[in-house]
Amino acid sequence: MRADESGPERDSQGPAYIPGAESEPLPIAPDADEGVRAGSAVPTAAGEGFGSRLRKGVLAAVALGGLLGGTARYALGLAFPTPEATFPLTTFAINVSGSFLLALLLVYVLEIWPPTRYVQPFAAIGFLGSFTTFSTWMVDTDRLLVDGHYAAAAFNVFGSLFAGLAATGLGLAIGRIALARRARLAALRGHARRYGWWVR
Amino acid sequence: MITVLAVGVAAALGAVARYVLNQYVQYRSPSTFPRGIWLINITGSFVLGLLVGLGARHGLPEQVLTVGGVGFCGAYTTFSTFSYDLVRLCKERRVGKSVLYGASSLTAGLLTAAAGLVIGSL
Repeated sequence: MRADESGPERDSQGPAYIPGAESEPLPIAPDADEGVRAGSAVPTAAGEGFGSRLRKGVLAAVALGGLLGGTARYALGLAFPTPEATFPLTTFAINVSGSFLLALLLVYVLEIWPPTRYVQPFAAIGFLGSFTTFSTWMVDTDRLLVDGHYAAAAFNVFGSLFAGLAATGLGLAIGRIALARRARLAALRGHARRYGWWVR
Repeated sequence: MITVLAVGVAAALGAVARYVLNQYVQYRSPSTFPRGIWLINITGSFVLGLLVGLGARHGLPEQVLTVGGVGFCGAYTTFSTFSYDLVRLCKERRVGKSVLYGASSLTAGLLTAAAGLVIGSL
C-alpha cells in the first residue's frame, strides 16, 4: 500500500488532497459523527446532555440504511442457504464484501467527497453496519465447535478475520489510488478540488 | 413477505440501537479503543446465542428467531466496523491495541455466545 503512494505526483504540490504520508492517522471510527471527529467528545460544561447530540435526521438515515442492509443480508441468506454444520459461506462472503465496501466508502466520505450529513449515517453506519454481522459469526463458530467440526470452526474464525482485514486493506488501497488520481487530474486542470454533482 | 418486512424493521432498530449506544459510550468515555463497538458485538453475540439456544431446545418459534436473530442481532452487531477499526489502529501505530481489540473481541464474543447458547438451552 505504501509503494503506490510515492510517485512523481507527490512533487506537484497540489491542494491538500494528495494522499498524506503513511503516518497520517486514518479517520476516526466510522461510527463517530462530526461532533466527535471535531474533538468535542468531552462532555460540555454548558449542561448540554447526550440527547441533544442525536439528530432526528441522522437517526432516520441510520434506520433506513439498517432496514435495507438487514433485509439484503436476510435475502442473501435465503437465496444462498448454507447447510447446518458446514462452513457458513454466505455470512463469510457478506462480511468480507461489506468490509471492503466500508473501507472504500470511508475513503470517499472522509477524504474525497465534501462533508455531507447523511451519507455516512445512511451508507456506512446504517447499511454496511447492518449488512455485516458479528453475532452470527460467533454463534456459527460455537455451533461448529459443539458439533465437533473443529477445522471448519477454526477456518470460520481466522478465515473471516484475515479475509476481512485483507478486504479492508484492499478497499483503503483502492480508495487511495482514486484519491491520488483525482489529485493528479485536479492539478492538471488547475482546479483546487472537484466536487461531485450532488453537492449543494 | 411479512417476515421480510419484520426482519427489515428489526434491523433498522438494531442499527439505531448500535448507533446510539456507540455514541453514548464515546460520549461518556472517549477512547481510541473502540469500546462502544466492542460492547455491542459482545452483547449482541450473547443475545443471539440465547435466541438460538431457546429455539433449539425450547421451541422458540422460527419466525421470532429470524426476526430477533437475523434482523435485530445481525444488524446490531457489525463486522465491517470491527475490521476497519483493527486496520485503523494498526495504521495509527497502535498495533498492541489493535491486537488486544481483535483478540478480546473474538474471545469474549465466542465465550458470551457460548454462554447464551448454554443458558438458552437449559
